[in-house]
Formats: sequence, C-alpha cells, structure tokens
Amino acid sequence: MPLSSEKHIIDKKFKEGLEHYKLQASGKVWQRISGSLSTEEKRGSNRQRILALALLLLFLGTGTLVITTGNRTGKNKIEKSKTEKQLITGTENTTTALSQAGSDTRKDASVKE
Amino acid sequence: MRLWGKEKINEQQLIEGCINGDRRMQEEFYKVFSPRMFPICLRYANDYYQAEDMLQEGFIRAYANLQKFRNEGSFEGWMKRIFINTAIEGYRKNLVMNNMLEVEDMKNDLVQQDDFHHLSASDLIKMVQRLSPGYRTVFNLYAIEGYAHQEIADMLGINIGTSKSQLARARYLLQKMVLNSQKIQKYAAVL
Repeated sequence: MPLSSEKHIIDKKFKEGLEHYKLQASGKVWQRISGSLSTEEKRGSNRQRILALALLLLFLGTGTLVITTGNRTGKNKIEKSKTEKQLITGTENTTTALSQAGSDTRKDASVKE
Repeated sequence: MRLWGKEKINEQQLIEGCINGDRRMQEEFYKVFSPRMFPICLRYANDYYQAEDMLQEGFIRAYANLQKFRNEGSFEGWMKRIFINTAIEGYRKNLVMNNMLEVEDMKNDLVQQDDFHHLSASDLIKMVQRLSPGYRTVFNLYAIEGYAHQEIADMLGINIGTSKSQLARARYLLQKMVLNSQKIQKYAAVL
C-alpha cells in the first residue's frame, strides 16, 4: 500500500481528521454478530454430524463387504480342500484296489504252478 | 493490553480465544476493534445503517479468517483490509463511474487550511457519505487508505484514467461542501 506522493489539501485534511477517528456502533450490532456466529456453529456441528454418520456408514459397509467376501473365500477354500481330499482318498482307494488285484493274480498264478 | 475481569489479556490471546470459538473472547475482540473499524464502514457507506451492516459482515469474515493471519505486518492493518474489502465488494459490480468530466476542468485550489477549523470528524464523514459511491470509494482508497491509482483500478475493475477522474471530481465536490459549511457557520455566527 504505497503512500501517494501528491498531498492535496483535501486529501491531507480528510486523512488527518479521519485516520484515527474512533466511534462505537450501537449495541445491537454485536447481538446480530453473536446470532450469526451461533447459526454458523449450528451449521458447522450439523455438518460434522453428517460427516461422522457418512464415515460410520462407510466403515460399516466396508466391514460388511470384507466379512462377506472373507466368508465366501473361506467356504470356497473348505470346499476346495474337501474336493482335494476326496480326490486323494479316491486315488488311494484305486491304488489299493489295483495293488490288491495284482497280488491276487500273483497268488492264483503260484497256485496253478 | 486490556483488563478483562481480573485477567490481563493481549491481542494474541484474544485472537486465539476467537479461533477456539470462545464467545466471551469474540465479544471482547469486537469491543476492542469495532470503534476502529466502524468509522471505516461509515466512510464507505451511504448511511449509518448500511455502515452497521458492513461492520457486522466484516466481523463475521474476520472471525472466519483469523487463523489465516500470519503475524506478517500489523494485525490492525490486516483487520482494516478485511473491512475495506467488505465495503468495496458490494459496490464493485454496481459502481457507476461517471467519466464525463475532464480532470483539468475542475479547480482544485478552492479551499485553504483554515477552512477546516470548524469541521469535526463526524462532519467530514457526512461529507464523504454525500459523494456518489464511485467518487466516495476512489477518494477513500486513494486519500485515506493510501492506495495508488493502479491498485485502485485493479481492485475496482476500472482503468487508471477513470480512477484519476473520480478522485478529481470527489475532491472538487468536497471542497465545495467545505466552503458551503463555512458559509453556513459564518451565517449562524452572525445571527
């Protein structure tokens, strides 16, 4: 804010007369300001409540999604391991049956001899 | 430093209290600064009631922006800028700048130092308020606040020539008002 170099008498006199002049406004101005501040505070706290609620809903939603997905994955894993076990058991049974059949054939051959 | 009950509170404590939303501090802040800011509003407003509206708006803006004050320069200067911006914002769109008169057409040496003796600060404010918003705003920004014409032109969205002609016209009208009030004063003294 540079000061002007030109000092016109009007500028000088009005500046001198008004620069440090103090005057109190009527008391109702503070009442109006206080009312506005209260309204702003209420708006602010409502905004905070809405934000908190939104965050809570987001948290619950995310939590539910994670749990549901986790359960599905768990179930799938269990089913997969069951199938694998069944397959392994089936293979073992087949191997046992085949080896049993093989030994029976050998026994028959020795009896014939 | 100001006494508040038994405590002594300074400007920094007031600012911090206001930022924290302490209503008593906000009221104290208003009591400290409103006598200095209200005359600024009066100078830019058409009348007392409009000045009160500007004062209210300015304080609400100040409370909302206190945390942005960075202790660069004086706090009072920062406050003044808020109130000046509040005052000119309303006018910026609606300012009618009468650029018809040439600066040279107006005599600028109508008054002397002695012509101001009978005038109080309140009289001077009333004279400024009688100017049209365009003249008043440019006069306030240039003569009282000390802005340069380029800055005023940028602030108000006008060109430098317009700012200069508005100032010249404002000075001319104020000189006439000063002389008229002097005549009335002399006439009243004779009676």
